[in-house]
Amino acid sequence: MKTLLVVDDDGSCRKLYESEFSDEGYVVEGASSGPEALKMLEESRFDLVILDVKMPGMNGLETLCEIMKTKRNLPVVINSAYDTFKSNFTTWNAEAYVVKSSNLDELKRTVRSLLEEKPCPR
Amino acid sequence: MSEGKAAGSDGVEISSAQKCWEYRACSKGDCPACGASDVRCWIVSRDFRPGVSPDVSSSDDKFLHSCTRCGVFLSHLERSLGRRLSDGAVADTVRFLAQEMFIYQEALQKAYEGLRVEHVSLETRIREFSILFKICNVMHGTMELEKILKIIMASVTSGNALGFNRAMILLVDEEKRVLSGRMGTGPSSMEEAARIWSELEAGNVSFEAVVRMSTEGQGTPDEALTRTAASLVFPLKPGVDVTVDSVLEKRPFHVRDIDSYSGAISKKLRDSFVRCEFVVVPIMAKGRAMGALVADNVFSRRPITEEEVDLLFSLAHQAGLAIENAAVYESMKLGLSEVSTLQEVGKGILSTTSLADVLELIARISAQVIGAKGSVLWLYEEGEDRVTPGARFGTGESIIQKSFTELGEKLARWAIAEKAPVLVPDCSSDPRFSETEKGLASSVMAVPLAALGNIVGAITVYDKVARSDFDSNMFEREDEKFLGILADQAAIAVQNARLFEAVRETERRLRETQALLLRTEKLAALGEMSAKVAHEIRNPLTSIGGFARRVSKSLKANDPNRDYLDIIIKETERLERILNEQLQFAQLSRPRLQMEEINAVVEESLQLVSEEVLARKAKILKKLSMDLPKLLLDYDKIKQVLINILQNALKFLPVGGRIRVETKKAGDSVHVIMANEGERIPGELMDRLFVPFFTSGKDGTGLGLAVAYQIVREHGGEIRVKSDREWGTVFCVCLPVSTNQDRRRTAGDRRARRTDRRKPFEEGF
Repeated sequence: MKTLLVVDDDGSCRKLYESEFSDEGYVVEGASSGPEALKMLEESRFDLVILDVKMPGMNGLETLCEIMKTKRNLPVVINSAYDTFKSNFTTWNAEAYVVKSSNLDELKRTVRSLLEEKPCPR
Repeated sequence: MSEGKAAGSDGVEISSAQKCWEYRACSKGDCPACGASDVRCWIVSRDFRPGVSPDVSSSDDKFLHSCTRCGVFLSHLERSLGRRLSDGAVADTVRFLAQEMFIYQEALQKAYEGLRVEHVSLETRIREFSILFKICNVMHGTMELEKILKIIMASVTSGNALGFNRAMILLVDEEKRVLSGRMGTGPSSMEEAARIWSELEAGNVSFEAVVRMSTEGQGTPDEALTRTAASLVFPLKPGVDVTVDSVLEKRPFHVRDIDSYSGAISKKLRDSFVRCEFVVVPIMAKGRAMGALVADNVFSRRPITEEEVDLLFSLAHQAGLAIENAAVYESMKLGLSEVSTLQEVGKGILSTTSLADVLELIARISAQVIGAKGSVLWLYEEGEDRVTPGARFGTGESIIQKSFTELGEKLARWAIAEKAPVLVPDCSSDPRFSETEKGLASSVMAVPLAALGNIVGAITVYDKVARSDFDSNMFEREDEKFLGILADQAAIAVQNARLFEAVRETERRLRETQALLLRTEKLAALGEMSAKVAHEIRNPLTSIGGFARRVSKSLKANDPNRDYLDIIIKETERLERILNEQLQFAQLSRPRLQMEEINAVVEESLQLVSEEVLARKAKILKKLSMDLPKLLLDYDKIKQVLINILQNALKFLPVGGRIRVETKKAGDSVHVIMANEGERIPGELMDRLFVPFFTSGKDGTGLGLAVAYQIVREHGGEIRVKSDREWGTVFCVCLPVSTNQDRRRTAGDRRARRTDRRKPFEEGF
């Protein structure tokens, strides 16, 4: 079973993602901040990260830079309320950029295709 | 632009005008901002241009690093972002922001430039027009040749009018076939010039006063130059002199350098008049050159501009008409009262600038002066070959007036086609008229209105009323001449009024553009705001809608609560849509172009609105051309355009209605046509469809079409919209093929740059 890490400071969103992606057959864990996410990534293995951008303290883009330092091949989907960064998300070395929406179809599709296309190298 | 102020990290206020190095008092040799007068603190002035452009290469990073180490810069940046930045993120954030700012500022700068240029040319036109207008007014107020010549001389040399240093006038003597000098004006020496200028300057003499002084024979020192002029007599043959050439070729000659001039300048003219750059324009009337006007700036040595040459040429046209009129009056030996009538007419016509008023006045005066029962003034659009009645005047029965309009058009067309008057003294004996037409009028006449060689219309008059027992009740040659004179003045008046209206129209456009510019700035501010708000709202919306979906899915199909949940889901979606539109407008990022199949974009857009199509029970008629060239476009943005237009179409579509989607090649463009059945959009709304925040009243933010328009313009294309009988509204997105190809290189560069930007990350491993 594939394991996802949802990084979002918004508890409701995290909870929504956890339940929805569990239904899809994934193991889902949540982190409420960048440092927490980094710590979890260090301790256990994840197949994909869903990453919010605007978070207090360390933001998503900074977190992403940190992740990329050690886990270069880990697919990261940026999931932000802003679509401002969408135009050049590849700059941050993310695999995909999905703007937050109450309709999770696009996010699910993206996650599914990334995991099918890219079996985890580790 | 903005006069922003910001507090530095140590609380010191610095203004946007201050340079960062002044504030910091740093003297780091490696900072390119050090000592540079054109580099301001980016964050305070919000002017990113000198520092980081989208074309920033690694060599500019020196600059970037200096700034990112600046306390003022950092604290302000973090405050405006609302978060602290780690060292690693600063440079990239700054680069990113700078790029966004640059694009926005570049667009604004361009808009400002365009406006400024338009403004300047408009001002020039208005000034020139008012000068000409003033001169015409004075000139057409007199019938004496000598006075007219003096007015022309004063007009050319007065500082309040054309402002040349010297001028000379030469007239054609038709009998002797020579061009001979008639009058000259201007100081004879530098000292005299200086004296006159200082006198005029001290007294601030108006143009009218200069004319009065010169026509009343006092003040201006004309004698020396007039004597010189009188000595000039040239045979009307090519190659004799530049003045003769100008008359024969009926065009201006602008001689910038007399020594290298390849045409003929006679020795007489060289000895007596020309010493430096000068200009000769022909004096024209009714297509005939009747003389020449020479002017120069021998004392001030100010170069003569093309605009001045044009203005002088226009003045010479007016002068020609005035001279011609004077000659005709002379030959007709009109009574004093008639001359004064005509003078009044001229003044009246020339002092009115509203086209409608002018036309009315001309129609009335034509009938009254000629003694006709009625008249119609026709306007002619040469390009469209259209003749329309501009004004009517009549004392006859209304039925006659009405019928005469048809007969009148026939006459007007003859006069316009022939460019000559048409006189029918007795309609009943003219075989060109039908029996019905013969019954309409007993005697008719038509003259064309010609201004500067263009036919602008015609005047037709009918049924002469004999003014005495000896007067005929048919129109005669004398009447034709008389109407001809009126027509000349009328033509100028029509031309002037049209020009005036064009100027007014330009002014209106200018005001509109300025308003738009202001709105654009407001929108940009709004964009920043909405980006912040969007985040705060979108997060809770995601949970509300997301959980509602979850709960809805878990309920049985017949559970009544499902309806309520559906409402929550629908409303959430609507709010999200509004947020998206707001954000789209806030973002004016450049399109990223790639070669794409437009049909694929169309198909995907249709796919994305399929739910709304189902909801409307709409029928889609699809007709996609299979041999279209690939286009260089931003797939996502064009998809956005098509979706926005389709959504708009669906909004106005009656349930069960049809939507037509078609692609085709048309010349150098590919057209995507989207039409929907439904009510037609009224014309006045049609113009405002693409204005931001303009809505039909149905739900929506009024941004969808504005965004679409913006995107298509960025692709070098346009959106056309119309209504036709079958379809309520037809939108056509026109995307150019050829210019598209030219931009391919730019897109490649952009891609290359993007790859560059990834490097710093990859090197870290």
